[in-house]
Amino acid sequence: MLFPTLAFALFFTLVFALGWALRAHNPSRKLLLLGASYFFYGFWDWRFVALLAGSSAVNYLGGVALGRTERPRARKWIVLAVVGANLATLGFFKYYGFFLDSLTDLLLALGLQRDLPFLEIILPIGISFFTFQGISYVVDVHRGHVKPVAAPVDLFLYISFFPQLVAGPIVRGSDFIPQLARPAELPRVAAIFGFILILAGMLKKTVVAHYLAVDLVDPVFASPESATSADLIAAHYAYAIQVYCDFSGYSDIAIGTAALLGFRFKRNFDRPFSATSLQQLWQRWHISLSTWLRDYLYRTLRGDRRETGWRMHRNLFLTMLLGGLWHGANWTFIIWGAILGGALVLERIVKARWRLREDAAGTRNAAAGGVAVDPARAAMFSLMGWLFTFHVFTLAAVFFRAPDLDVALTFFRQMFAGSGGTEVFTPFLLTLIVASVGVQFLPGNTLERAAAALRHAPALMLGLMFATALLTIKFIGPEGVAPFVYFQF
Amino acid sequence: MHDRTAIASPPEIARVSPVRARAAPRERAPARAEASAETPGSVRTSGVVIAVAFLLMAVFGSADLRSFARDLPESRLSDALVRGADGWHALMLDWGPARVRPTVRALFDGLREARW
Repeated sequence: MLFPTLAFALFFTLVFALGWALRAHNPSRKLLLLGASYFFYGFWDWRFVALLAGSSAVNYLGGVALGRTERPRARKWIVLAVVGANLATLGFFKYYGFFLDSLTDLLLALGLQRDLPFLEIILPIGISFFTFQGISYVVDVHRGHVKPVAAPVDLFLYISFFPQLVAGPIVRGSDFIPQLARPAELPRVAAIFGFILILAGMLKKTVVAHYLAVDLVDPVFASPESATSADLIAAHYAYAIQVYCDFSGYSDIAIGTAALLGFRFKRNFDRPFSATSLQQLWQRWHISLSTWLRDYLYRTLRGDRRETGWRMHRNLFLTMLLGGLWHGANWTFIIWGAILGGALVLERIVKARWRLREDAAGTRNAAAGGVAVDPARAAMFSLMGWLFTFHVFTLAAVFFRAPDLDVALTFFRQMFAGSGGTEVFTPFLLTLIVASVGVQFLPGNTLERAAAALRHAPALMLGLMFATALLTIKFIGPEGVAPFVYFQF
Repeated sequence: MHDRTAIASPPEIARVSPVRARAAPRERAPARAEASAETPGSVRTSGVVIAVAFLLMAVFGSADLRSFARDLPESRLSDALVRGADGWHALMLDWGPARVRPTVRALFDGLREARW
């Protein structure tokens, strides 16, 4: 059941009506939302409902066990066991095929041909996201940041809540669970904001991401050897925009639908393509995963030490590399992670040296974030930073999109070959790319302000505005809806 | 519990840490009370918005309704729904609303297919 479909609209309307009808009876409301979430997940593939329930049960029991002991050693073993169980499940579904193929290749190389047991493993949709939520809960209980949940329904609903179940955002227990304890609230501005986010998500996914993919990215990546340089250059920009619109579109709809059910989620994307440094970009891109990696991976690598120098750079690099590997057991993802990790480390080193130089020369303005005092020079630095950041991201994205290394290398070879003309790149696609980047420079609270401005509008007028915008998006969008890019992870 | 504020985190991975979020002042009671008082009205407004959206979708997007009905698993109920959706779409074509979509689509495709 994809978000931008009539089936989901009917399902959501039913949950919305029943959920608010049960507002005064919170336990029943939570059971309704839990049942709806399992129905939503079972709609994809009912076989994996047991996996979702099992994962939730393990994390719930882990939390309960942590709540019953104060002994550090026992707590450490409990958290290791639960996190290990989560990672083993994720690893089995995500990497079983890769390891089996690699082992077969290795045995062949050693002259030991073996028929290894073959299993067709289907990746359960959303497994990474609900596993990450489970891990964050148990680790947070271990660290004392959240109290263990007493009622199983709260934890099961936290893990499975349908708006964020299959592709995030990765919601923290400390944000979600307290919202279950009080009666649901829906301020008028939050409701209008929810509808606006749903429209924004639909536009991003069904119009921008769809046409960039179908008209440019897919044909060019299918045969980069026969594409012109201009088409390849356009396609590499288009793919970065496509992934952004696809993924942030999903997040927008998820946050919007959750808002209409009375839940508040933090934003997951914050105009990442206006970032003037990679550091800033990762503060704005898939924020819930970036914070997850920081709190549960980077911090685990680092321990409790204050770090500087090469150790910090090594851990940053490893975090990005593992982030790449999480996307899949493929060299293209590993290289993608390595490029972004390496560039991040390089940026930090260059910035640190630059600051030292500016300090020595007395030209640094600490209040301006370490850039030069002269406004023209500061603007030039911002522009250079933006160009560097944007192009590191878009060029690395070629590895992310390419099915294998050969395709990626052919893509780059042809891109710089200088062959003229365009076959598939059109003014419409250029408009989509430029507009998508352009809106990133609007103030970050533009949609919130739009919602606030409509606060006093009559319900019928709001309905007509929403319906007209939705119909327009439906009219210009495709007949069917392709799955979201991040469903595969 | 560790004092997490004493530990340096790389700023590029996340802006608002959960610790800072937790340390943020709780929502003021009047704001909560106001939100709570607004809720029944907002739910009604949201219901109206959803109802108007469904109504206009049924009128102007009757073709989608027909596709949806045809994709349902076969049963007596779905057969009846298909017949109903077919009849409704034919009516909307006669009356005109269902012809808006092809017109808008043709304009859009003209823009989309324009070459340099």
